[in-house]
Amino acid sequence: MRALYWNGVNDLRVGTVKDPEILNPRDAILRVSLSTTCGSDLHFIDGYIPTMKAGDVIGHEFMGVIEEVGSEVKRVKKGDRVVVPSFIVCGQCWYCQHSLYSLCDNTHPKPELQEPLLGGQTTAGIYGYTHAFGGYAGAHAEYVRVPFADNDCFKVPDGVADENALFLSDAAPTGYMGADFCNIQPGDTVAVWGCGGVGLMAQQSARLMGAERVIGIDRFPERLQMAREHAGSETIDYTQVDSVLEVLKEMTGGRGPDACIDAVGMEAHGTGPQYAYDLVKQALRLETDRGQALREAIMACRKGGTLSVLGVYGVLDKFPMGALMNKGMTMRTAQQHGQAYMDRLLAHAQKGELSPAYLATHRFSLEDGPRGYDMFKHKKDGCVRAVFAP
Amino acid sequence: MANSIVAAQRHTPSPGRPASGNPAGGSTQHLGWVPIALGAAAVVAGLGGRKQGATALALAAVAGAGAMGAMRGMQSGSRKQGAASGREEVERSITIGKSADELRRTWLDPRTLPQAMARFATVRPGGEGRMHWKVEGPLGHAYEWDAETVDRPGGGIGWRSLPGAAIPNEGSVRFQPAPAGRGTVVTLHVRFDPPGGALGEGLLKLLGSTPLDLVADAALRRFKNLVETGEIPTTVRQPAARADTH
Repeated sequence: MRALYWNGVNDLRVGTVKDPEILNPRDAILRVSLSTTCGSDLHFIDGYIPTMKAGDVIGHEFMGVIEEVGSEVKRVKKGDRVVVPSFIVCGQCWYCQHSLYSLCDNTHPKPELQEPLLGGQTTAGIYGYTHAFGGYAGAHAEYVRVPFADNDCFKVPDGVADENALFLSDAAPTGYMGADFCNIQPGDTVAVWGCGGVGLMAQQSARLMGAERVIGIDRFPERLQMAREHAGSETIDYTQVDSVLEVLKEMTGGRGPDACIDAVGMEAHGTGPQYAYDLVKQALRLETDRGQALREAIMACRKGGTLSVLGVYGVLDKFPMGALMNKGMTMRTAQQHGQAYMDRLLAHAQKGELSPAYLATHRFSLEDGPRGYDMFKHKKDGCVRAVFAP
Repeated sequence: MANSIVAAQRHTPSPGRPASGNPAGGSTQHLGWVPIALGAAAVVAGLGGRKQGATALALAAVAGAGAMGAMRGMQSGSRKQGAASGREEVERSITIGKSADELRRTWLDPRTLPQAMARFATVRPGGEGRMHWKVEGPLGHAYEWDAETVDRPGGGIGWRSLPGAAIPNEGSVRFQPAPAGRGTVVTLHVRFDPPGGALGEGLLKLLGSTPLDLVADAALRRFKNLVETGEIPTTVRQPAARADTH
């Protein structure tokens, strides 16, 4: 089959690889209908997350049709049109039973690569996202193997188009979880750093959960426009204001937002000396992360408010722990527990309350995958998400 | 983490030392036979000539702020080394969401150990409660022994190599209830007692640079995978644009 693979830093290629096969009795093979780029892919494409191997098939956000199932698959069957969350979960361990799905104990085939980094513990495995996260083949391909298919394949109801279902794989559940972390109360204002796929989904989710006001922060006019149009957000272009903090404080009557969501992560852009500091240190590999969005979110949040972190991080300098502590904030964070939210998300999609297809600004054949990632990475032509159809 | 069976005799691991650089250094000298170590080695080596500090930092990027603390022995278990004898001993624990009775039954099922140990050794039932162990070494060398199963107090299960094994060894597994219905704490204990002198040294070389604590961790993890889900996660034979696909 044809597949998009990582050949080295900033070197993606399309080639022919062998088809996936059923390896375990609870596996299924999915014929991929659509897959999409994710901002978190850029971290290993740019070389900031190691443990990629040349030849790894990438891609972790996808939907498709089941082609084949293993002997122990009971709930889903050949022909089902399904969406698959990016984290692979067993459904039976303590973490799965407590809806902490991305922390599943039983889906990481290479724990020795990740345990030293997480205090001797592991996350669940992910498709196409480094060997430290399991080394599973990704979904930018004609076919992908889905382990634990009964737990990880969710049937898409009739009436929900492929383009809408696609983003329920990762962007939507990540954003939805981020808003859920905020425990939104009537009257609350939620500020979201980043108006990419996850940030926009977080803003729409905050609305669905009853936020009075949602404020989106970014620098790209077309993304800010989407935030206003699709999430009813107010927006701040951080390159056009002297201080995001002051603007947010004024917008919220001097209190600050009740909850702040970081949907940016380790390659934040910003302005001023702190951004320059991060750029230099990251370039010299003295820190792995540029963390301006996260720092700003902590500083902006009201006393006793909630910080919800969805961005992916490694090691960050100058973390304002004092502000977090003295303002008595609650910090919540996780890789997405998509399986916990999928029923609700599919219901929202079916009712037309969540139609994330607008994120798919650019569509490519799989053969044009490298060009799609280039447009996505450099946000050319207003690209929010590049979508691939094999 | 660099406490390999061989290397441990010359190298005392320092608790604060970042582990990310070290498994590579140890195992690349014995390329090609212990996939556990090799996976880490290949990936770390693949970073291509970065200094070790940078490698550790880069690896930390994957996981975040707990990185350095993580390398300071926070895993459940301990490892001892007899100063004079070169004895290797490790004890590791894992919590599994099943009852002690079910775990004991599964452990004794002759199909279990071969799967739990598959990345380290070939184990096959030898009749009369015995198991035959075979560890593939470098250059086609193999090290084999027979072990017998023995009961341990409190419902534990033990095994020990039969007389005549070149490197006498023994192990045990015990099952204790975890708090508040969280299943069972399973503790694996393994000890190798090589004879002294050049003979012992040579035999240990056959066993290679297997980090014993990694073997114990992997065996427990695979046992847990098997009893909790009925299968062990794998990426072998999956698609990739290279010969070694997993």
